[in-house]
Amino acid sequence: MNKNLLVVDDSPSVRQMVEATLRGGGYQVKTAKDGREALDFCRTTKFDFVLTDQNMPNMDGLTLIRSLRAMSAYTRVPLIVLTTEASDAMKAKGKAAGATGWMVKPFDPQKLLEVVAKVVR
Amino acid sequence: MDDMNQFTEIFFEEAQEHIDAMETLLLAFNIDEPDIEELNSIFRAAHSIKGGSGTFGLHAMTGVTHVMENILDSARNETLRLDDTLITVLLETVDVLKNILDAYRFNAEIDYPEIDTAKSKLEAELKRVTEAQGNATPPNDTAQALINPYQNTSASVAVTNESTGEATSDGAKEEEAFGFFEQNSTDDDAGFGFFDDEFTSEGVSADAAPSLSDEFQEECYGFFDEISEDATTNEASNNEGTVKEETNQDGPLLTEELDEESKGYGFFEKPEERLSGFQADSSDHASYGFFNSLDETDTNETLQELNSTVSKTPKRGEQRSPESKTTVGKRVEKAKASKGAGEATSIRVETTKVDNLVNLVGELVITQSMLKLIGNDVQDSLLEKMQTALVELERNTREIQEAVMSVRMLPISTVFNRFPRLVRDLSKKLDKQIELVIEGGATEIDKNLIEKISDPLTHLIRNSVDHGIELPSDREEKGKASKGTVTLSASQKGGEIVIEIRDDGGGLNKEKILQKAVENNVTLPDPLTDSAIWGLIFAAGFSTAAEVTDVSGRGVGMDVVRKNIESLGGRVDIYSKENVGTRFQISLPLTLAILDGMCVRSGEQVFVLPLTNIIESIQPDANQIRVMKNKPLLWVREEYWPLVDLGQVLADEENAKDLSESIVVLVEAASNRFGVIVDGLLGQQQVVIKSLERHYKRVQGIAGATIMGDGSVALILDADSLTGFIAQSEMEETNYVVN
Repeated sequence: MNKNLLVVDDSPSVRQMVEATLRGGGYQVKTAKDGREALDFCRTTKFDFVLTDQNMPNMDGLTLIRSLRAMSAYTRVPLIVLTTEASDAMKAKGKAAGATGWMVKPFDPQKLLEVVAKVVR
Repeated sequence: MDDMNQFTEIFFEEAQEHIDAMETLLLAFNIDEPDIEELNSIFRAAHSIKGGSGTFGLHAMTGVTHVMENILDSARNETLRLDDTLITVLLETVDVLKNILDAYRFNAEIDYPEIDTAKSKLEAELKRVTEAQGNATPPNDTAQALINPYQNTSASVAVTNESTGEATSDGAKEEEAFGFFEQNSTDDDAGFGFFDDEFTSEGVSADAAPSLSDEFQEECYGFFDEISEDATTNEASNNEGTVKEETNQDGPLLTEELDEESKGYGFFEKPEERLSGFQADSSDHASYGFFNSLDETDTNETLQELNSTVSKTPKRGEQRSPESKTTVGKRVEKAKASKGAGEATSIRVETTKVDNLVNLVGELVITQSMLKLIGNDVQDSLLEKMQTALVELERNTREIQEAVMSVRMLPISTVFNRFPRLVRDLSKKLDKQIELVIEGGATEIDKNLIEKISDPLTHLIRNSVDHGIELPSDREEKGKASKGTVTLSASQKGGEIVIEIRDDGGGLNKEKILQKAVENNVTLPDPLTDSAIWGLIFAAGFSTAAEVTDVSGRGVGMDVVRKNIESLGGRVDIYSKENVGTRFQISLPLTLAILDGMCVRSGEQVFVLPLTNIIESIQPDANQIRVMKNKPLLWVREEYWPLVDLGQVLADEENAKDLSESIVVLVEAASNRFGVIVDGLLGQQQVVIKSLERHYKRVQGIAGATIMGDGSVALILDADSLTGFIAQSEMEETNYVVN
């Protein structure tokens, strides 16, 4: 088991909460504070799942997803956008960027584990 | 979750930072030339608060920030221009956010009516601005319409709801707001069929669809997603708007989708399908290759291209791998480096602990000077070693002291940052146009001073805004720019921090001040020099404002201002010129505890003169000494210096020193320069300041006392109050002679 998950969010509180939730679910979790940092991590480590916020300084979530999808190691890795904007435009952009799915903030920790369990295997 | 509290705590701090950042950025916002990057930052701050507050169940914040976010989002997408009123309302909302945050933080009652008022005010503003700027549809809608030109009415109703900011229903709204982009059937053909229908019915390249489903089913998964993005989004938005109807129409297809929707997330594609699809196909790399090139290419062309590229793919993969290997190596190093720099490096410490540390260092400094003294008596064999060790000890002590002091130092911007808001609010209230310029915010100052300087500064700034800067019409009459400027600056000069509040207003009015002083029975100084008159405004019960306003109050403040500053060991000087402006200059000691001093001897007494005041020490020649009105003056550096005989003014010596036998230390105080006559120089030393007032009483000429290495007490001289020993007439005569 021991899947390697990457959580990307510029908000330390959300980041730590997601991290704790996922750790509680038995996953290994690494966190990044923005898209750029996440991309750097992804270049050296292959994660089994990436959960990213959309609005972040330096590099936003969609750019991160686009960049990851362009890397051979990440064509199949589930990438989920965590966003407060559940608008269609946002979803269309997410989809265009190659995200596997999206999750709206705020979310229930249990729900997060459900989603992760669905895509990570 | 049990440990949720811990994250909430972090969120509070984070939200506080975001709120502060929003305030600063909004205040600095240039309406005429909006900076998109700044707007992005403000937006992100609102966005983060919204996201976090929702996650942690602090819903009172979520609603307000949602409306803010809408406005800011439109602004950063340039579909809405922020104007001055809107900024004011946003700032008010920031205040409301502060209140909510504090309420949550301290478990206080949340003021829901206040929140509702703020929210509806924001909404009203948004509406006003949107209408004024001729934007019939709310911006969110516009963006939506671009992507979904053919969305049905029910979908747009949903969107409108969201963009008008029905924040109360917001949570519920978002719960519903998602959809599936791909059919959930495990049957691939059916899935494509779904897309095919979309294509033909929505008028997207009808030619493309059959060939896709016939030939490229599996490898084109991602590709399909890409090109059908608009169509599927429509589908999704339809689903959102009319979840129930859709369910009826599409029956089983959407049932699972609905399940998913109630869970609050969605997949753009069924994960297992995607995985199996890629795993089954060796050329899956091809699909990502196309992700990038798709945007510009027509659907049909892309399909053909895909056909040919599938065969090329392995080659491309080969080319790719070595390249990625080399970059990986570099990245490892880079990641390591950035990790070191990026980790949080600050901790929170109680100030009492730091204060305690400072006191201990003070004791250490005294012990060190004791050892230094003993070191002189050590016998020859050990002397050299001992001296080396003592020099080392001295250096280390000094470094420890500097390090400990720097712990207590904070940039003065922590105080200064409160003032842009103050000035903005006051100038609105008074119908004045005022710009606050802040200089030297990075200047570091002892934390204890920061807390105590805040109130006096607030008062002085209010004063400049209220009494200093004139109304725009008056300014124009005088030929000045209608916008006044208040400058707040800080700098370090020697051992002092100098804070200045400058305005380019009307200046102080001599006649009014004198008249007021007479009315209030304030004793007039003699002689009535300019600075003496300005000093009158610090007298108790003094206010020159034509009428008392609620801004500057009733004149109870200025005397308190001076008292506060003097209690910190500082002083205030005023410079003013009619119609040019007024400058308040506050000088504060850098730190309160330790100073570098020169030990001087007068008779049997040892005094410490702060090094920062000393210009030089000389042994005067007979021809440098002049006598005027029976008072000796010293002619040095092309200047006459009045003299203060320490022995006479402080050490109770009967006879004046013989100048040609003595040493004169030339000292520079705030307002003038003079010479201090002493019997000898004992050497330079760091001393720990102990308050004399606390143990005895205030003495003119003395700043405090210190304990020397041998345990004796030495008085620390205060150059500024030493000038009091020089007769005013003498000062003026030296000036006269110089001129």
